[in-house]
Amino acid sequence: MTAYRDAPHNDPKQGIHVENFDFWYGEFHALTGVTLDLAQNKITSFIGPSGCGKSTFLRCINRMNDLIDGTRTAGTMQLDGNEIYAEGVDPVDLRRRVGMIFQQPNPFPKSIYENVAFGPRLQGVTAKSDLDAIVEESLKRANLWKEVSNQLNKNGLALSGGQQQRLCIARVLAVQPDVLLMDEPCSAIDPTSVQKVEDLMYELAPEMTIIIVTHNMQQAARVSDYMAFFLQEHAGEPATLIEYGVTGEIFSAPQDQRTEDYITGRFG
Amino acid sequence: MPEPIMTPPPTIVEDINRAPDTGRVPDDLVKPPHIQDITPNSRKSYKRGLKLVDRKTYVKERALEALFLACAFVAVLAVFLIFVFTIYRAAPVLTEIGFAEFFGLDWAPSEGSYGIVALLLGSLLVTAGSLALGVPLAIGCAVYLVEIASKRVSSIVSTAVDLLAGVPSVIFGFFGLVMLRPIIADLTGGMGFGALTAWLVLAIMIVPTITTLTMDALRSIPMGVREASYSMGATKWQTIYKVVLPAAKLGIVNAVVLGMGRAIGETMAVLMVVGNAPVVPESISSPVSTLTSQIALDMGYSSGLHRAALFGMGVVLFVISASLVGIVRFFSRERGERVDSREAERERERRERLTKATPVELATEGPDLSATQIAQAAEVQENSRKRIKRHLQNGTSAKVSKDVTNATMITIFKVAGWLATGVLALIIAFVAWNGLPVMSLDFIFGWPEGVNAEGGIFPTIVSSLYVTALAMLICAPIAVLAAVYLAEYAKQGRRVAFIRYAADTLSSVPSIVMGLFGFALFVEAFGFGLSMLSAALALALMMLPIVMRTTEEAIRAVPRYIRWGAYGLGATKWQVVSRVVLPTAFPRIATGIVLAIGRAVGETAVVLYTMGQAINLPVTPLDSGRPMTIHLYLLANDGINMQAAYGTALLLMLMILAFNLFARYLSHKSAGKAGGK
Amino acid sequence: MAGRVKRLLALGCALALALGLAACGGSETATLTVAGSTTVLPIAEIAAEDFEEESGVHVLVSGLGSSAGIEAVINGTADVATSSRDLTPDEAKEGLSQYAVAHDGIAVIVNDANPVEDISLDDLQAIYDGKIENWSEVGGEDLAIQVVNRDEASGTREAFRTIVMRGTPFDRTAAVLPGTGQVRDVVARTPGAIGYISIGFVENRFTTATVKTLDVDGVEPTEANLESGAYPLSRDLYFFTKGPAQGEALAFIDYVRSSAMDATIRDAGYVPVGEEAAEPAEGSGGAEDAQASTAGGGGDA
Repeated sequence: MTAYRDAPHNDPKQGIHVENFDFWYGEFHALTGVTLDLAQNKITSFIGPSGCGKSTFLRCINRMNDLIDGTRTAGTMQLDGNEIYAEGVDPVDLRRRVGMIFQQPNPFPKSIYENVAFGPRLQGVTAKSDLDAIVEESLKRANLWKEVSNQLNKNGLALSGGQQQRLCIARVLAVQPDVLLMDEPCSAIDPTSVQKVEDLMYELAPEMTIIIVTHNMQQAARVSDYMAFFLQEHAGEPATLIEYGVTGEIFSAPQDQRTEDYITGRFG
Repeated sequence: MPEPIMTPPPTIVEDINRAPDTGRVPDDLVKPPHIQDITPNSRKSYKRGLKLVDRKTYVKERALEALFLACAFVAVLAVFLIFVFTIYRAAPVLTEIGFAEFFGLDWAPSEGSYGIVALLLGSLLVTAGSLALGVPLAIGCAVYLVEIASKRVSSIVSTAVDLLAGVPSVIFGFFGLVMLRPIIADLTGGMGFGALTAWLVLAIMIVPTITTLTMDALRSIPMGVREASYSMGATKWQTIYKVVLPAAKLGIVNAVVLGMGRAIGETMAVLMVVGNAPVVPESISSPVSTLTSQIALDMGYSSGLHRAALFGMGVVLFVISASLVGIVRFFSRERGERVDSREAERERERRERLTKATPVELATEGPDLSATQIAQAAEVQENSRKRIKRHLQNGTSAKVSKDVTNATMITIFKVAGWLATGVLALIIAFVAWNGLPVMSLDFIFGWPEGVNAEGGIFPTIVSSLYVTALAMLICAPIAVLAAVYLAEYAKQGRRVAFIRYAADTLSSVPSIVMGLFGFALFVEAFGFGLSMLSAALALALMMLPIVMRTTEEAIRAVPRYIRWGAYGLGATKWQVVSRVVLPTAFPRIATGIVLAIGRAVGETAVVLYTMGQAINLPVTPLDSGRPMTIHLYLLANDGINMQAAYGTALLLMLMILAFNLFARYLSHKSAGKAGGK
Repeated sequence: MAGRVKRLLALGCALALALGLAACGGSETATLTVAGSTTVLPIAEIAAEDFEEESGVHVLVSGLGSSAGIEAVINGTADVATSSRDLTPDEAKEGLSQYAVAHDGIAVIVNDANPVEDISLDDLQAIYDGKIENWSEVGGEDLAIQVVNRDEASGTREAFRTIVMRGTPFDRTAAVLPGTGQVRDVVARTPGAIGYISIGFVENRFTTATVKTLDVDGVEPTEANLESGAYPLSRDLYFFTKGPAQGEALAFIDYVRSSAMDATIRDAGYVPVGEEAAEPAEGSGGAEDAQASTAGGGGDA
């Protein structure tokens, strides 16, 4: 059973609402019985040891797992009152509203400009002036503009790891998603860049629901308003949500013994 | 740095285990300083100080490096020899025939006319048509298999395509002659010999080649790039068209050029279906001839000026294929988008320094933002968000909905995938259906008898295996050591670029030209005669760049940190290479060698005029023999005992299949050993 | 793990060994190399087998085409050349000895559906040099003639050129096929096609498709007409050696010309020359002598 303390409750027509959600990779039952509402325009962190299903769950939110053969879901997952996994729902459109940042910065092997303009172009924006404006605005939002403004035609891969990650963020900002999923966005970049990415999350949070998967407990404590702890207790059994609530409270007084064990470093 | 052309390009997008930009290990990492920088001038050792480099170790390391370099230069030497020797034998073209007449339209050796233009046009016509048919099909098929098909379908079909990439050209020619030609004849009302039939046969032939290489290129694009595109709300087709294909562009161009090289250099399959009329054809269904097929047809009996003219045609083919390599090298160097240069690395470092935050900045930019700051940020965000959204609204939806486009394109790819698979399956079925009734122990272990080679084909099997084994004994050690040099020792620079260019050129030499060269050098000049040895040497040169390439790739795929581990324990360079790198890369190297063996077994044009055609059980390397490919070719050409031809084709295909399956087994086994994934 | 590298080195040693073997190779039992005409190949191969059984001499036979075989004997690569044509003037200067082994006729074949029954040598020439392009010009239907020629290595082509073309060049747009069976197959399937093959291959137990032979200048291509010399498209099949045949080569040639081979030669569709064939003529003496000698043999048969 999941322990909830001061966990947010959404208006059912708003934000992400998950109820009794299960997920399978082929025969492998990866997640079971996840129920939670994600706080709107707040930062929520998912924590837990490796293999606890937190990344899997994150990728369920924008149906990235569809790209893997043989995956299956059960239960309810709604965005603004609409069932994400309902028949006929276009995952492509869903992903325009639920953007994602990955662990490994993954700019396209194209110029910085083309990287950022990619999403708007997909949405049919063709006018150079519009694209220019979006690119500039997005890069500024991602705090990258100063560093790259004079070399927008440079290949995105020529940037440093931290810059690449901010480029990826700028790329997502260019389509203005409502929800931003971040899958360990800082694990492959240097500390200075981590700092910048965290600042960015702060700045974006008032307008965007941000969900971050992280292994770094300090980071989770620093950046997130809410925290969800996932755990796979026994090998071979599905993982589930153990505890969900306000970050500070989970850290100071976890309700579940397993959460406490994890936070105090007894396993994971 | 110029990139190797014929080698599939290193991953454009970074891979965790490699240097982010260059895709190769920087030299300072693979050259331990104690070998490079200190001369062994003193052997004093200090009780507690650092020991200096031991002279023995130093000499050994240097000697090994020299040996590897020598091996790497074999490719250069071979290209040089082929060029010079073929030109030398073609000299009478200039001195006696004259340049103008050689590039005339009339090819009639019996009447003393040696103009090759009609043949050249024939080659170009046949190649162009086959590319037009084969390239879209192959790329479509590759995209389907990598991007669209389910894992299960993809693994089955791509295995089939892989295996079919190894089907020897003589079998394709046989299929074209017996299956396609009568159909074309009925459709066009002619005899069915001509460019059209050759287009179909060659297109079918180059599809597996281009497909597998394109698949490699597509697979080298990290999943993350696709995920990024999908997560932006791109459809599958948009992702393929806007992200994956552009990212794989260089690899695909390489695949197409390799396919083109294969088409223009293809001899046996073309020879069997073009009708061999050395004229500018009246239509695409009337007989035509090409440079390669004419060489194969005439070489056996030509003499004097006629033979010189054939060598002249060999030079022309060589120049064409070498310039194809050169053009694409140039083309890929010109492209500024590649990010594997050192310049990019330096630039990156510079930026990193520039953008490094000072401690003060760090302190002020910490997460403890004041309430006002957050409020300000929110406001800025608000504005920014609005601005972006406003511009986004200017987007217009396309005339055709993205879903329709997506569905249409996906269907097209699917059709391409299944069409390619279907055609290839048809060939297998054709050979198997006709060949199975002939199969028996007597056929495999018997000796050919009588007027029409009834009975078995045992000596041809032995000849095939003999020459292949000999060729690989010659080729494999040289190729592996050369690859070690290129991957581990060589500094990026002119020398390596030169060796790569030579290897690429060597791999592009049409097999009939290699046959001509082998005949001129090994059979005649070295006096090895028509023998296993002559054929094996020519085959070895043919296989050298292939094994070199796969080995180099295998070595490069060994992650950097594994090398670091060994250096960190105090291993010398050779120790690192021999105990860590090569064993780690071994399964992939072995896979490459086994695949090369499969290819050597199926090679026809190279051995046609280097081994002789006598039915004989070879004992010494100087014995002559007739490999299965030639046996099949002769039977098919005679067109009398087709039963034996089918049987030989089936056995040949089974044999190559066995080698390829073995190669797969090797690579799977190694993957399993590494603990999967 | 290092064992694998050692194995690589072992491969290298094996290579050295192989090259060593190559260097000292060459000591073998008596071997006779026979190369040349694909037309003669069947006879030569059967003869080789039987001869090997009888004498223990190993005979290697390859069918590269008559010219290639003669070239091989001139440069010493082969001991005996098999040929379905005479020597060219150039080749005649090389001092080869000529031995006729069989008579052969060249049948002009057309599709079964073709109503034409007879053709003159002149019309045949005109068809093959491209002047006549439609069957209606030689008394047939209004149908384009599709000419099938043999490759230049073929002795059949050479004989056809000598007898039919008489100095006129072949039409180069004709399809050139490198095998008798292929010519037969293409003609059998193509209504307007014309080709020529050795009489021995007109009827063939390996194929079901049939072709029709044309009478040439009113003479049917039968064995009787061939032997009588009435059928114009006839030639002899020869063996050549460099200088007079000696030792194993002579023994082999004698065997082929012996009555032991008569049945085989008839099986293959040719007419044997008979044992009592005249002594070989010196190639240097010119092709005429050889012609005379074999003509005599043919008369006796």
